[in-house]
Amino acid sequence: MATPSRPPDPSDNAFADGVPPEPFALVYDELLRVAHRHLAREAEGHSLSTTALVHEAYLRLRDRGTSGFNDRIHFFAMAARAMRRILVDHARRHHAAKRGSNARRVPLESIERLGDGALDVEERAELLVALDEALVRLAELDSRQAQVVELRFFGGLTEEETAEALGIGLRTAKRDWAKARSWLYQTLYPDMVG
Amino acid sequence: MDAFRAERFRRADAVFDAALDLAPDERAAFVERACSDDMELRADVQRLLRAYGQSDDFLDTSAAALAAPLLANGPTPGSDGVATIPDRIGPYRIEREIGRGGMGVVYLAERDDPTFRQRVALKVVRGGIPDGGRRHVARFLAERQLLASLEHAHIARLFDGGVTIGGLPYYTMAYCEGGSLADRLRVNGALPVGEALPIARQLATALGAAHARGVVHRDVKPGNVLFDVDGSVRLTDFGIAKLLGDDVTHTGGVLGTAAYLSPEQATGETVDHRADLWAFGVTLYEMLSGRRPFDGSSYAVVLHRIVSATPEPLRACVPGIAPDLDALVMRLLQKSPSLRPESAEEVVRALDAIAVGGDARSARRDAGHAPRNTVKAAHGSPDRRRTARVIVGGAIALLSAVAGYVVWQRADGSSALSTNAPAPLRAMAAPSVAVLPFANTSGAAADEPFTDGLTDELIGTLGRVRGLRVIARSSVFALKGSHLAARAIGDTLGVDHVVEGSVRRSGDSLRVFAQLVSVRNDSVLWSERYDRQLKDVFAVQEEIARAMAGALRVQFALGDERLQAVGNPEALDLYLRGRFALNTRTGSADLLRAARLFEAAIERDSSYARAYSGLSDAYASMGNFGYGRPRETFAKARENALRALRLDSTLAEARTSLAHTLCVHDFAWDAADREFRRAIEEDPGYTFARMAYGVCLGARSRFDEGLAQLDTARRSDPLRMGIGALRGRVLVGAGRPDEAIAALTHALDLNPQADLAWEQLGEAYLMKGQDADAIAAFRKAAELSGVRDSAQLAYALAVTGDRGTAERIVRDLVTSSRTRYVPPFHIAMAYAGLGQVDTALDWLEQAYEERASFISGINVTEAFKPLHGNPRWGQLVAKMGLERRR
Repeated sequence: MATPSRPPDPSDNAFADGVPPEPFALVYDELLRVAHRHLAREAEGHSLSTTALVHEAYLRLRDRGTSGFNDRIHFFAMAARAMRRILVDHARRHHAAKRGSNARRVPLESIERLGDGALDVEERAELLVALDEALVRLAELDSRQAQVVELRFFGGLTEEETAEALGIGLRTAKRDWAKARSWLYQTLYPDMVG
Repeated sequence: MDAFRAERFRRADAVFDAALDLAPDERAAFVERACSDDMELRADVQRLLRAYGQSDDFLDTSAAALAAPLLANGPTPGSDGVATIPDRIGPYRIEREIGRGGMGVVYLAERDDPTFRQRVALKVVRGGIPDGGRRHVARFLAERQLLASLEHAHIARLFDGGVTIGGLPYYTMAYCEGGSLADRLRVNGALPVGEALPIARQLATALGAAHARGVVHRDVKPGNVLFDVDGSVRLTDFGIAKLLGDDVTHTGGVLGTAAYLSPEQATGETVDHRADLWAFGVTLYEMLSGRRPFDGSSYAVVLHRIVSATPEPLRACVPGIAPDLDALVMRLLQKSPSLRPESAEEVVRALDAIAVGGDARSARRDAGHAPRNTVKAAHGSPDRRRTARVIVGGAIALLSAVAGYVVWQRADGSSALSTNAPAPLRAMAAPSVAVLPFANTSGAAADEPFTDGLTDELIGTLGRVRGLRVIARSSVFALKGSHLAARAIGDTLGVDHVVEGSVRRSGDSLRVFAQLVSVRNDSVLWSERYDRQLKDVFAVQEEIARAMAGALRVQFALGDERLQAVGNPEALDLYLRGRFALNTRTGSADLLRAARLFEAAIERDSSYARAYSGLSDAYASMGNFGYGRPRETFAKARENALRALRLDSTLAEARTSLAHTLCVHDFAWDAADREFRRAIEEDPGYTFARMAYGVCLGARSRFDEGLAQLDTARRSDPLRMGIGALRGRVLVGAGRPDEAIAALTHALDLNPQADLAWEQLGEAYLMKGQDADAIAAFRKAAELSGVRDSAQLAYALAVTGDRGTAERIVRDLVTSSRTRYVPPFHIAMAYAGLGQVDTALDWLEQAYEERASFISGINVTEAFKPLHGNPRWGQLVAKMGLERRR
């Protein structure tokens, strides 16, 4: 089967050159499986590493002889897209379930016994959904910056791998990453930035 | 894709990119040059640069770890208190959790940097703060600098801070291996004096150092007193409470336990360094006795005691305690800040003197004056100024002690009169009270209607008490969610007392907490907690009202028929949700939903009068807004109002609904009069009755009476929207454009979205011949009601000379009226403005047949003056029972 010669563009939902979504579906499923395997091992997933998941998925798919990919980097790029879909899908499902309920109020007695440290589940879901939407908008304005974010954050790729995947210089990749994060940050937290 | 936006982004990105090539201190100047006078571009780039400065850690983490709890199908973290410990926050690797409290969680972390290892305590501020914590985070970042500069042997150094991926603030400080004072007290109970005093002294020096830099801690408590490995004190969390907004409310604060709050913090007064001295006093008390001086079963009870109760003297719980130590602690726990030691330095000196077992007199002198001191020269005092104040203060204190008041000088020189007794009765009108929206503490948004309903009920119950002035619902709910202190609320609403409380509903059980607070001196006159069953909710409400009336020394006399047991909790629930939807009232969907909820309530309890009343209101609203056919909806409104009244003849809202229908649908003016009056008599605080009656009177040209009703409404419901607009309407009808303009302008200041008010303003301007202003107002009204060209605008254009446009608009509207509903009343206005009398009358007659909106006001509408001579007009007006105007 034909394979795309470049990483998927964040702004297209279907693959423009008619490639069947099978490789993508494979990657998606495998990533999900790997993630659940890791989660089962350490119940709270606090050390779940995107990079580790992607690498493991790659190895497993490669060992099964399912080669729909030119190379490692190409796989990673697709995995980044798949990971993004997985996480955002889960976030939206959770968000939809919760829609209609206001911010939780803490009952008087349990004020001392507050739950999580960093973010609770609702906040994570909200953040991911907001991030995804912002990323879509960023892709309309500068598709390469958006791709860098997808590869680095959702794919766990290093700066070098990102540069290679996009066919750009390392310095450019770093710069894009910095700029994209700035733009996303001010989009998601406008009050912080004024 | 918006090419505009893309271009704007491209330009900003280019400058941003170039700026990043420069050294940080060159960027600002470069941006100025590069953007020259393009302010938008400059703002965009500056925003990006600011974001760049803050987004170091942003997204610099594992997406999978972030989303892990979403992927897992097991119990979500936090619901049972089990936390997901992140692996990294910013540049720090998290080792383990070392504590948690009201504000967040503390981790032991290590900086993940090969060139610079550092072990820190990392505290993350919890999420779930109402506004998402963004305001707090912004303040936190601004203050970090100052806090980081506090260097003292007994202050835990603040190193660093940042924002987690989720946008929560965190900060890092030196890790103190000796644990906290809270831990020690938990394990050991009270500490021996020999151990407590050195800790206290170190703590006091830390406070002194901070106060000298102008920093007030605001959250001194054993949990924040940490120990180094060598046992020396490190005070931590400086000023964090302030950064987090100190959102102390009477019904439950964000900051955890209330036990260490000073009275001034509890009541929302200004807070200075002396609040820290208070908290220090509480801590010292606890160290010595193993107990807290102010404790209680709930947050609010503790606050109450802090503000008004005297703690048990230390000598009672610590036998053999040095009298001067006892006295020092008691002085630190003076309710009035000026009676406490003036500074941390004084406390240190006092502690030293106590430790030495020194001269009792010198300790007393150094620790500040006490009311019992008579005028006495203080020998050897190095500070003459302070001595002088001691003497003066002492004398006044002595005199005042006799009078039963305490007078003090505030730090800024102004003086204030305060009393520990209930406020002396002023020669004034009836005591006034505002029932603030009770807080829903059950954690479920579904209970919000119930809680609001309870507030409503209480307002209603109190409103029927003779001799008590109660602020109506809408003004009170306008303040919902604001964090104003009692005094600010009192000023805004013009009341002396507020009632606050919280409600927690769980299945069939109910817990209600309520308290009555005097605005004038911020004291709690009464508070109580009720644990009851849901079916007793009205009994509880009456108990509360009765108790409150007693506290306000007002005669509380309610007839027995008020005491309704809730026959069917399900029905009650549906009814309250219906009311909630009705009050939201943002569109036809809400009204329909409200109607359905009321019907469902009726299904479960067919003798539920309130539900019929609610249903009647829902239909009346639909009629007013023109949803559905007015004839039908008003008929249903009347039908349900009558059913409600048959079941409970005292229901003012049902009677008002009936009266309103009689007015706008039946044109039965005298009957409407009677019903309105009766409703108002039944429930003088029911604002809507007066509003509807006022307009009705206006329609019948009884302008002064109408205005009187609206004025009364305004007094009892100062924040209610809509009253001003109605006043304007009546004044326009009365042909008093100047007053109308004043009233409407004011109303529009409060609520610029009120399209009806804009319309009336336009009418007023037309009367005054201010054509341009009139057109502008009509345009604004049209815009707000969602159309570009309205019939009312056409009318205005016609009478100001632009007939061509007016005709076009009317033509278009009439054409569209074949496919959708177009209010006939306003079309008639437009035709009248164009001088087409017969066509105008055609439309008016149609409006009458339909009982369309506004038809009842036909006689006081300026637009139809040219029609008054026409016989058809005479017939129409006669049919409506109105008097033909000359």
